[in-house]
Amino acid sequence: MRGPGISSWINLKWAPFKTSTMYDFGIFGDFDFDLTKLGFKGGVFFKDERKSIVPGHLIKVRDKFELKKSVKGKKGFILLEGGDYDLRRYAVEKCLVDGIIGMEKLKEGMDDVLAKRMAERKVSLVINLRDYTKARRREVILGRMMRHVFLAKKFKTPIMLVSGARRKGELKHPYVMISFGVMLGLNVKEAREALRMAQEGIIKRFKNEANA
Amino acid sequence: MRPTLKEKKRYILIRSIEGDVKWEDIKKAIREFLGDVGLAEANPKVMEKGKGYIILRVRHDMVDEVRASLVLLDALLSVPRVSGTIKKIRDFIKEGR
Repeated sequence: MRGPGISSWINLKWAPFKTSTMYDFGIFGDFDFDLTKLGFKGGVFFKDERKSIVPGHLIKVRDKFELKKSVKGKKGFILLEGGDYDLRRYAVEKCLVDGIIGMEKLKEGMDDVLAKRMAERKVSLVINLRDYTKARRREVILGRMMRHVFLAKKFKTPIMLVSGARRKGELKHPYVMISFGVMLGLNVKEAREALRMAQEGIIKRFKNEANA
Repeated sequence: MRPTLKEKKRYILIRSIEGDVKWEDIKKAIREFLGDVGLAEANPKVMEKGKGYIILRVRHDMVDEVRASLVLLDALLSVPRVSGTIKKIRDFIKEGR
């Protein structure tokens, strides 16, 4: 039998890197835009559920009681923003949220204990690019992001990169986001996974919940 | 100079989805993100400018840095292709991808 001849590898084409399997799970503005134009498969628009691939809920609370109340009965992608360290720790330990955003803006954002708990309970560290671009002291935010990524890598905490766009112009191309992830200390594979892995898990879970 | 000692380059296609891309804005963003030293190291040069696109030439190991600096731009951009030769980028544009 004839093996693969020279013609088989002369015409070999490298499979193009597919951005179409990536998601932007943090769009906070109320605007219309087809994310497939940028190369994303979909995203979460927190202001409009109809455009989202899964419904997104951004939770900003101050105490545990409010947190429990606001999470109750919600399905989809639940994101916690702000709050103090104890609240974040409580939310993670009770598995009340899917991710925590905006920790870079806080002095005591994420430490090794929280990173470990987040890894155990599959709660993602959500890195918002808008926090960096719109910050008054960008170098501080970038430094904290790098430290958080270092901890997340150490304890294998899931990471999500999101644009945090409030206007159309603030949306970012997936390659730009991957490169930014590389700047933060991820390697290219991890940066790609930050746009896909945790997101796919959430979509799958939401579909299962909807079917049940 | 021997080819192995020459500086290796990469060509980056930057396309604007809405509006126009300006080289001055890109340069400013790179300078803000990487600083003067980083800008000098990356050595970006505009090779071609067209309607809604720019082809930049940068040092081969600074591609990620240059691409990451585009986060600072308030414009809807895409960076669909990086290549080692400008010909491939031109083919990519011709094919309308």
